[in-house]
Amino acid sequence: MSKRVLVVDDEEHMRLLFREELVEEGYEVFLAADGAEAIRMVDEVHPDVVTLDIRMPGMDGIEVLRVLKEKNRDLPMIMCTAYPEYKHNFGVWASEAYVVKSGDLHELKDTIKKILSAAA
Amino acid sequence: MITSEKVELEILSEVSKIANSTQDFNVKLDKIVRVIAVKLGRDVCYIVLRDKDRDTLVLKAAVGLNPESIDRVMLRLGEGVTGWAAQYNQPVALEVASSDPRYKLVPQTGEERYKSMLAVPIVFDERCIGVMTVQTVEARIYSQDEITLLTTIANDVGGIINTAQLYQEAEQNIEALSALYETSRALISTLDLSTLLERVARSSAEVIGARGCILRLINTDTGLLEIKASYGLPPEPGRRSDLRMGESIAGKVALEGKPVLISDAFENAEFLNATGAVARSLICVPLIAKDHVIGTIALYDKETPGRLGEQPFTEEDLHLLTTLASQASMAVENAFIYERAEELALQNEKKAQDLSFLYDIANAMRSTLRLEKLLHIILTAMTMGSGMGFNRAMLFLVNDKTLTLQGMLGVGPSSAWEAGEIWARLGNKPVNFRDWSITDADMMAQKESAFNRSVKSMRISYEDETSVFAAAVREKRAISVLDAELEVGPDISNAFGVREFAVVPLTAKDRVISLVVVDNKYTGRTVRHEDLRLLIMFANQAGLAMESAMAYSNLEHANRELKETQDRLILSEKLAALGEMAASIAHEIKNPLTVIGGFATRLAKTEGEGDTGRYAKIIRDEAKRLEKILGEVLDFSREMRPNIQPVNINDVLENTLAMYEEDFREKSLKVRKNLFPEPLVVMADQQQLKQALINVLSNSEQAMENSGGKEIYFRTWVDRDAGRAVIEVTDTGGGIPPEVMQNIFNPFFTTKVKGTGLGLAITNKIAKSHGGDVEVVNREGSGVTFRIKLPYRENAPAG
Repeated sequence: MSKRVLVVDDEEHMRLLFREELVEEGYEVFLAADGAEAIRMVDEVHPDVVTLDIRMPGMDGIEVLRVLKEKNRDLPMIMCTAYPEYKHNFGVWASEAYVVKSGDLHELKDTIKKILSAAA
Repeated sequence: MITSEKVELEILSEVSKIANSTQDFNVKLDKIVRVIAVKLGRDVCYIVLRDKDRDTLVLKAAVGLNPESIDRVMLRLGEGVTGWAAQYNQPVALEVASSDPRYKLVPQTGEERYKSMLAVPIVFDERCIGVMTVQTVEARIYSQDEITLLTTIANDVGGIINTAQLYQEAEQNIEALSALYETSRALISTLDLSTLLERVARSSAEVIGARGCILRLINTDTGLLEIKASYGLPPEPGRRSDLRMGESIAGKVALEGKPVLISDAFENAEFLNATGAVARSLICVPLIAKDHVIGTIALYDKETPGRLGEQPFTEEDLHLLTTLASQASMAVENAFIYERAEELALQNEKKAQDLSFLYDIANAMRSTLRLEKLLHIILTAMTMGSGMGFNRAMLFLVNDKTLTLQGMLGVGPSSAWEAGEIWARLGNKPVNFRDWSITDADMMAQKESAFNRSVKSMRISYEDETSVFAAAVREKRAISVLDAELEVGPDISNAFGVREFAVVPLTAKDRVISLVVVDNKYTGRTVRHEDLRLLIMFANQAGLAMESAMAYSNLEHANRELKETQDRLILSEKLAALGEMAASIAHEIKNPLTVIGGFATRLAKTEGEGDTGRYAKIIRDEAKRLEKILGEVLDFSREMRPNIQPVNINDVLENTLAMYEEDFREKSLKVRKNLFPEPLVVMADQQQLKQALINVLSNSEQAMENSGGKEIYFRTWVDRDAGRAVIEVTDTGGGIPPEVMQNIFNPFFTTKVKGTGLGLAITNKIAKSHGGDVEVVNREGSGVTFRIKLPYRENAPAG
């Protein structure tokens, strides 16, 4: 059974790109446009990994990270953002990985693979 | 022979007639002795009267004796036959007087040619008041009848004499009273002390009939009796004008406050010494005001007009002088008070002038905050004729680090010629200081003067603690120098070019900021005490004004610097804002760029080598290039890398504890520390290390708040075997329950109502990122020990 990836990002085209790329990688991909939707969907779809944008309207990624980690500590979370500087924010340290967005999605894909294989 | 009764009647009738006449007492006595001599047929008849106050008999009227001797011849009681009669109150009849042992020849009377003598006492009110004596050329035996007759006549005469004396006394009293009245009027008509004293002296002498008068007052400063007025006495070079209290007669009178009467100076050695025997008799009484002796008044040598010869003063004279003196004392005291009031009024006027001057100058000084102008105003006020009027003034700034005085400004003429010019120009043109302020032209002239240039070149060291300048600075007081060469040495004395000057410190808030030197080089006038007093008052004001000006100038300087800093800050802020904007734009671009790049990559992959594929590759590569540029921009604008440096963990602990000090005190937490005795240096990011410690501390604090623990213990030490430096925190927070213990480093795990639960997780992550770890020793029910262990190499370079 293919692994489930929940992509949380407020930008539609970004979500689309991630879905195309990750489906191609063989994952079952679910999309959430903001934090609230993401929290709801985690309970519905039980993803194996979450990619989480940080700058979003409403709850930001760090808040979402906190809520989700409180729900389920074992759910791996990958912070996926255009901003490299959040890496040094204590708030993101609870996440499993931090990936800076790029048109080249290799780093993200590698990180997902590594985390899922470690969890397996 | 005429019967004695008839003669008696005749004589008494004549004597009564004489007694009732309006003639002078002395004329009456003269007539009486003539009547007696003629009626009784005797060659001589004379009357001696006993002095009321003394035991002497004075020849008052005589017929048959040398008229010159009247009022001059004096007998003591018991002296001669007449004296004996007076003393024993008994008649004496002698056939030949010279053969009696009691007889005493008084040659000046010419009595040697008379043989017989009958002397009978003149009695009034059972008191002998004199003696009546008759004499004849021939020896003669006086019968009892004759003795009785003369005694009877003498008694009658006694009554007449008494009445006459009473009359004379009354007359004298009236005279004295009117004299007193006159004197009083004279006294109260003047309040000028010296005029008053002259009047007192003159009228005392005139009223009592003395040849001279000396009035002395006690100088309260010296305690000496000084002659303040005299009358009728030529200035005697030998007479000492000032007497000490108790010295000589006046001194004694002043000391004891009691009047003194000396009838015969020649019998009084003390008086002789004091006066150089210029006078025969004297009376001296104290001047008493408000129970205090304020002086003495003395009269010399009684002189009664119409009387021949000198007479001694009497008790009446003394009494009268005492009365006069009490009047005079009051008048003198009044004049004193008046004089003092006038003096005070004068002082007040001067003070009012000074105050208005100070006020006007204060206004002038307030008109500027420019230090330079202020100095000109200060020194000009000191030198202007209608100001303090010193010839020259110099101002020196006090440098208390180098202990030198730096000449700042000198105001005053540069030469005697210039001084004359200036004063001639100012002449009768007093400057009104109201609304006065110095003009720029005046300032320029002062600045360019030779004197100012010479002052500005002066540097005076006051390292020598004994120097006048050091004393003025140290003791903050004005000092007058009377001999410059002696007191400040020849160098400064030559530089100043004066012998006499005064140094006055200008102080502000108890600190001497400058010294002013003033002198009167051209007038040569001594720097007077009151000039200095005003200068000192002014100096306080001037000091404060100078301080304000200096503070203002500093403030201006600081303000300028602040403005420049601010400008620089604004510039860098602008740059920062620009950078921020660039970063934010970069971020905004980055997301779409990611999407563009991502889809281009997909396209390039799916479209292969066709035109579309090639174009897609171009888009992918260009997007990649843009991403790289953006990455560089962002890296540059935000440097957020850990800053690893050598850090002394003892310092980190102390710094962190300092933040909690207040908090711990409020919660009454007792802190104990045992720090490694040497610096414990590790390579670490100081901020992160501090954060790690803060998280532990917050946890412990929270735990203790729940458990009521009150003690927290810190230790730093080295675990040599493991190569770790250790920060150890032990709390008394009751320890951690076992079910919590395994989760304490998990992010977001919290038992607290507040907080994210990230605290200890972060501490752990920080320790790990530094290559160390965190150890927890839990003692359930008592407390927890956290150990943050960091890699440590001995002899690491100290930071």
